[in-house]
Amino acid sequence: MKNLLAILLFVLLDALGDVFVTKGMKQVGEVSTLQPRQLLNLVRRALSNPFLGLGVLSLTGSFALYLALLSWADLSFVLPMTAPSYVLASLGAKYFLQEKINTLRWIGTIFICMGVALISAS
Amino acid sequence: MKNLIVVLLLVVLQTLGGVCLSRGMKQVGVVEKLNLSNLPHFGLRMIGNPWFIVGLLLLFAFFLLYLTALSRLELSYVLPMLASSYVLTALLAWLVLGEEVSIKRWAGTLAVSVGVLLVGLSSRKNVASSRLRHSRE
Repeated sequence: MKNLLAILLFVLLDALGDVFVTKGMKQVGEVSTLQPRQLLNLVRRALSNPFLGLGVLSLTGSFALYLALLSWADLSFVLPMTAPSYVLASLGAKYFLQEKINTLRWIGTIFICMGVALISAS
Repeated sequence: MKNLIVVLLLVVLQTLGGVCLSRGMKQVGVVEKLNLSNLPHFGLRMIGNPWFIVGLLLLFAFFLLYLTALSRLELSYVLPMLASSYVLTALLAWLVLGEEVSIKRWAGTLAVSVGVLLVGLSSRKNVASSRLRHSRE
């Protein structure tokens, strides 16, 4: 039960972190220059962006939880559970980031989920 | 094309970073039960391990490039494309390390490859249709 809750939290934090980080970077603006002054400006904006901070925090939390899970629970139980995060992140992208995801992309994402589940269960 | 190069670079950085990190972890020793009392001990030994440090640096570079990619591309494109690291890992394990890869793992690798291909194609379709829209306007 404890493991299941931790896995749920891990998957949720992972997907949420990616969505937040994307939201933050869209607000910071496109990184399309290598000019030092403009890059510094981008870094400054990135460091003060709340979504980016929240995203990095979520991703760090999910990674820590993942490491903890690996030492508590069976690998064959933990690893396949990382697969659904692809669909979850895409759902977040659709509803929270307003990305338009066509049928081809959904089918591809589901193939990836199944593949990752198979690989990590083997 | 430029997007694919960025994705490829991301996958290589992530895979190499993971390989270095796990090699470092194996040298440091198996963590049977990680808890608060042995955390500082393992932490110090990890920081002293060159493989671990190189792995960490590679993953940091991966994350910076990941953020750059996300500033320009869709999450629903970038994240699934990164799953091709599973394909690269299986191929490396098979070709370079000479490991035996199970049928189940090959099947999963094939499914991931098909998925990555479809997601890759979906972005081309998106670009094409938005170009069409622009030309109509």
